[in-house]
Amino acid sequence: MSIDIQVEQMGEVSVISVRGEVDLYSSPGLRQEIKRQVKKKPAVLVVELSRVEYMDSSGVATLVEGLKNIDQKGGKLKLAGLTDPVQQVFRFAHLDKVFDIYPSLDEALEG
Amino acid sequence: MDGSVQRLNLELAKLKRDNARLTSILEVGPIISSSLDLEEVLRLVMEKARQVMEADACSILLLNEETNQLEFELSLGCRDEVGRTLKDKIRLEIGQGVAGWAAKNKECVLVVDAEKDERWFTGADRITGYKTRSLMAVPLINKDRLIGVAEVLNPLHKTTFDEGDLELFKIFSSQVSVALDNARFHKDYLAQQRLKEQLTAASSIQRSFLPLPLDEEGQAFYLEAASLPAQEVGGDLYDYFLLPGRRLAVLIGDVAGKGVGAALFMARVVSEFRYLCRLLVEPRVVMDGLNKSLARGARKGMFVTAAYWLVELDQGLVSFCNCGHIPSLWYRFAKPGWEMVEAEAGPPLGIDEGFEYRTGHLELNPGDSLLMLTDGLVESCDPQKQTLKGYRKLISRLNSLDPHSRIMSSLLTAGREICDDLPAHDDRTAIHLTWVGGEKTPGAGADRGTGSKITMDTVELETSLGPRMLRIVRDVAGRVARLAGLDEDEVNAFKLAVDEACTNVLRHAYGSDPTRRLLLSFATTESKLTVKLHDFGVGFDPESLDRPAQEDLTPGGLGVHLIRSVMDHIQYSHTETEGNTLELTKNLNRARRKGEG
Repeated sequence: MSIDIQVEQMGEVSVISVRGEVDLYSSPGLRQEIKRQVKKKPAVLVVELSRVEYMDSSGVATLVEGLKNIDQKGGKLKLAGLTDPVQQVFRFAHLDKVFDIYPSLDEALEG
Repeated sequence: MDGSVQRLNLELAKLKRDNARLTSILEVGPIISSSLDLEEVLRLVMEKARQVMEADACSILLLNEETNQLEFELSLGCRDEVGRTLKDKIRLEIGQGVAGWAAKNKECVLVVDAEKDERWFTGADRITGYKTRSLMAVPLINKDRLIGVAEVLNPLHKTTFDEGDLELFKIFSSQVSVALDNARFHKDYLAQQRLKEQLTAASSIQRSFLPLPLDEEGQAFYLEAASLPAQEVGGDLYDYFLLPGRRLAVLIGDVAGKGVGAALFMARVVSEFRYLCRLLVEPRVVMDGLNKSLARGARKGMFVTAAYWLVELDQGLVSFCNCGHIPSLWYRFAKPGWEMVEAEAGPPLGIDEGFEYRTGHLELNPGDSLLMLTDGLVESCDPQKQTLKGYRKLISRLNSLDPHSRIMSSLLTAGREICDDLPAHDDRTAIHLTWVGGEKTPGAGADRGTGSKITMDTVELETSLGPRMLRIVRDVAGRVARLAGLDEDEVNAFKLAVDEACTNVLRHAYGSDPTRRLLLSFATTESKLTVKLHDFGVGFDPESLDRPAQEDLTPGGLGVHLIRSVMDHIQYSHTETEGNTLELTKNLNRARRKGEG
């Protein structure tokens, strides 16, 4: 597996930390974890991406799906610590304005 | 007086009867020529025989040349099932029974009383329940060869046959021999016709395996090829086609043996070669694969000599692998005159499964030609069939021709002129390739390489698209992009585009089968970085590439949008049989790179 996923729950807030390259093969793992967390209806779900050096369109689509699902349940999805390559993908996809993006996990938790 | 009148009357009656019988024999002639169907002729003739001989039953036994036994071909005057029993169950050795005796001694036999004749074979009567009293057997002989035996059994109006009957039956039987011979000749003729038709069909199938002329418009080469089979179907083969990355593949070969078997083997060689060529790159590797496959699946004694030539059309670089095939010829523009290409040749394909072939290399200059050929052509140039002498004669013949013109027709008829009117014993095949120069040498001339050579670096990758390989592809793409001088953002973007293109192939062309192979080639020139992806799957909708950047957030749609965002030029081509090529180009900003440097 090319990614490593860790989950931390702090009251109303869930944090999914991802490490590795999110591509066609690894994004289904991320998708499953996001779905599992969304089911628990957290007020805020943070996806922390500071150790993701690569993300392709399937990774982006996974996050878009997560955003839609948590919206329906009245929660919030935040992305934190995007590296340059990942930021670039969001820019190319014109999604950098659609997501709540924070420079770091701390700022995401504070904001 | 009364007695003599009576005798005369009897004599007259006998003459009348003989006359009627002879007339009947004359009637057999038209029957024989009325049909060429063996069974029908036999039936008609034997019906007549039974009628004329006034016999209760009659049979024809034919000699089975393989077992040297006599078999009942047809029996009349008995019930059908009895005829079948005789046909299926009874075999007579030569010398066994009356018919066997007639066959062995090639003499006619008259048996007055069957029970008292020791030659009489009782087996047939026992099985059929027939009671034979008297019989006649006449060997059927044509051109001194025994065909079978004709028999008539039990005269209807008297107790036994007599010598007169035998004479008549002899005449009759000679007619039967002729009828049999005619019908058999016709049967053979029909079989030959059928074989000929099959050969014609095989020949057209085989021709359909040969490639069509390539469109040379805008290409860096001229190519002509021809093959003259010695028989309807030949054992020579050739093939050529363009491969991704502006490469030309040429195959020539000679299958051991001729005829339909060789042609089918040839078809297999060509189709497996086409498949392997698109899967693997280096000639040695392709031929190793072909050799393994042929050696494993080949019938004993089936092999093929072959040579694979791979020409990089931009550089004129040629790599080749010779598997037991005769040397090709090379015409150098700078040093006019044809010469043999010296190359190490391994064994023919299909013999030694584990053999590892070698790749040879040569570099063409603009105006150079290569001639690949088969031994039939070389040998046809020398009546004594000495290969070296044949080569010398062929080369002197070639040197009299303009190497840049179409030389095929005068080349293939060359042997005929030298060997007079001898029929061709072996197929003759040749491929003539002239390289005029790649696109980076505009106005291709002999001064290529003296100065303004544009450098191009290429990296080729043949890969499956599993998780690990997909990451390796991204790494390679990243390194190539960095070496081409792109900045880190652009490097990441390039990686992304290549990855999206690969996953697109995987999902759409390959139905998500990660074991299927993809050919990737990266090429860098001063002004651009190009990546070509060649897959062997079903085509995808190229219009999806032109779709406006919309909020299409399905992974596939987004992927294509990402590719379009990163790349400056996208080109897609699709063929029914040879897969799809996607060419992505990124322009390099040279001014900035210089500024940085």
